[in-house]
Amino acid sequence: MMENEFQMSMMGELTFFLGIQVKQTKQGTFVHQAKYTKDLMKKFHMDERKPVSTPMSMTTSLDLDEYGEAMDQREYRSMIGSLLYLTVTLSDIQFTVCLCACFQASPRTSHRKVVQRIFRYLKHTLGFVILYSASSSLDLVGFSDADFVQCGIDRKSTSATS
Amino acid sequence: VRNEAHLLAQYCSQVDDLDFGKTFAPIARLEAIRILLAFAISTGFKLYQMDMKNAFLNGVIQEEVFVRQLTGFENPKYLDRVYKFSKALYGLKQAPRAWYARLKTFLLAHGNVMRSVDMTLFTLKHGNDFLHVQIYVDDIIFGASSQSLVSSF
Repeated sequence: MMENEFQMSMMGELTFFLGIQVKQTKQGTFVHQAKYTKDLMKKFHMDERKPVSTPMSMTTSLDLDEYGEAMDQREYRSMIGSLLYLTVTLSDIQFTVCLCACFQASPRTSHRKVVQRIFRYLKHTLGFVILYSASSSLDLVGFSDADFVQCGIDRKSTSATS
Repeated sequence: VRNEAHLLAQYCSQVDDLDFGKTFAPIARLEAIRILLAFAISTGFKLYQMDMKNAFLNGVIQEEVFVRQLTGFENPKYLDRVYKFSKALYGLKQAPRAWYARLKTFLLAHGNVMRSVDMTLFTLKHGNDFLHVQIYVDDIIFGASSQSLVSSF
C-alpha cells in the first residue's frame, strides 16, 4: 500500500534506527548503540583511554569551580549533548550526564575530567546490550527516589532530573 | 565516488505569515519507540522498518510561495517570470510539516487510527489482528500481529 503511494527505499526487519541498533530474536529484542558510541569516542579522541567499571568516582563532588581553568564551552556542550542521546539505551549514565550538564554555562577542566570518565566507562560497557525479554511482563512499575536539598551548590532537590 | 546535487529553497528569505504559517511538525519520542519495542516482543510480533525516498518532496504546501528562476537555468523566453510552488521542496520552512500532513492524511484515509496522545503512532484493527505504525519524519517502523497485514502495508 505504501509503495504505491510513495517512493521507498530499504525495507526489511528493524535493525538500525536513529543510531540505535536492534536485533530481534525469538527470546527477545536486543538494543544497543555501539556504533554511535564508537563514533563518539573517535570524535572526542577518547578511544585511547583506559576503561573503568563505574561512570563516576564515589568521592567526586562537583561544584562551580569558579577559579578553575575554563574549557571550550562548545566542546563541553557537544559532549553532553552526545552523551544525552546515549541515555536512550544506557540508563546507567543518566545520573552522571545530568549532573555534568548542570555546568554547561561555564565549564572548567575539572568538569571535563568527570565527563572523560563517563567515556572511559562507556569503553568498559561497549558490547553490553539491553534485552527486552520475550518472557517478561508488560506491567508498569514505578520507582521514586525523593530527596531533600541534595545539591550541595544551590540546595535544590536533584531527584527530579536524575 | 558519487556526486550528488540537490535543489534547495532558500528558507532564510521566507517572510513570516506571507510565505509560511505554522512550521512545526510532531516527531516521535524515543521513549515511545522503546515502549513499542517492548510491546512488540511481549506480544510476539516482529517490527519492520522502511525509509522514504525524498520524503519532503511529497508534501503539499498550503501557502502561495514563489521562487525566482535558478541562476544559469533561466528560461530565455520568460526572463521576468518566477516559479510558483505546487509541492514542497527541501529547504522550505514548512516542508517537514507539509510532509507530516500528507503522510497523516494518507494513513487516516486507509483506515489507520491516530490517538490523541501520540500523534506519530497509527493503529489499524482488522478483526482480531492489529497493525502499529510509528513514524519518525521519513523513517517508519511498523509491525502487525499477522503477516498478511504486514505485507499489505
